[in-house]
Amino acid sequence: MSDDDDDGFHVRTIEELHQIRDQALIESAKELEKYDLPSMCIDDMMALFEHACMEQYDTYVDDDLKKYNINYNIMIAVNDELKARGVQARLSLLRFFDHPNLQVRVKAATLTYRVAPEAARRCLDDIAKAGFPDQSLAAGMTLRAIDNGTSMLT
Amino acid sequence: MTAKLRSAAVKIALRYLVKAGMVTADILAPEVMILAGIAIEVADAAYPYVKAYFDPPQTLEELQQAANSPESGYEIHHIVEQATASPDGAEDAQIDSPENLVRIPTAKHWDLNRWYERENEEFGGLSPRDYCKGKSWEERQRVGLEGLREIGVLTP
Repeated sequence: MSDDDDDGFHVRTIEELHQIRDQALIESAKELEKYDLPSMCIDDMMALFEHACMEQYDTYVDDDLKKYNINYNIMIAVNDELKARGVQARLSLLRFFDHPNLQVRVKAATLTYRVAPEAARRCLDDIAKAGFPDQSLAAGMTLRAIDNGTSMLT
Repeated sequence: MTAKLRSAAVKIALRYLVKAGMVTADILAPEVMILAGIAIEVADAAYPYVKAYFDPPQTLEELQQAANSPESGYEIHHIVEQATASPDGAEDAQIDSPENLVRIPTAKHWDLNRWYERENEEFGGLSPRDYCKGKSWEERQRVGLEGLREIGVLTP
């Protein structure tokens, strides 16, 4: 058995990842055209963020990377708008720290880390220690990157 | 059963079992599959994968040694990923050297691969695989070993 074993996972090359990234960029841009983020209220933005994360959560089973990345772009667009509005707007994501969906929780904590580090660390640490497929690895690697100074979170 | 169906069954079972707070001792009991609500045929195919997933962490030497003994439910993993090797082939020998190969539970291999491929705000929006491309061997190895520790395969 090897990395390329067709046992539920295909290891994509960098070129394949770029193709999927480019397709996702086009599709997420189309999706985002439906929204006027600068004029959206916080609650509507939170609903969009939550939905994007839940769509990402579902890609665990079928490994639909394009769907994951489309929703990544939507999530980041919402986060960029929150950043543009300031710290209070960014703190709106705190409401998701006890969300029943792990992906919503881990992304909210990650993107809030720079403005609410203590609460975000507690949230990420709890998820990392729980040993869940997917989200525990993401949470743990985020904390490691922060601690060893390689994190690019802003 | 197709590989896709088996993979989906394993993943669904793992989400259920971790959420239910299962530990290794529970997983060793075959009736746990009934709890997971999985049909017998699917459970038989998924069982080695699910059981391996709950292995306790091992030392790097143990994982490297195990790479010489293929077993159902496990795969050989490259600590420094093949996909990040220099395109001129200069690293091929190092990539396939025994020091870079470990045997890990298949479902954890899927988890790691998935993490490497997804766009990630930690890496400025790049996927970790994209980020690692062109980085030094030591940097890629650091990321690889941290990943193994974080998924509970390698002892801290």
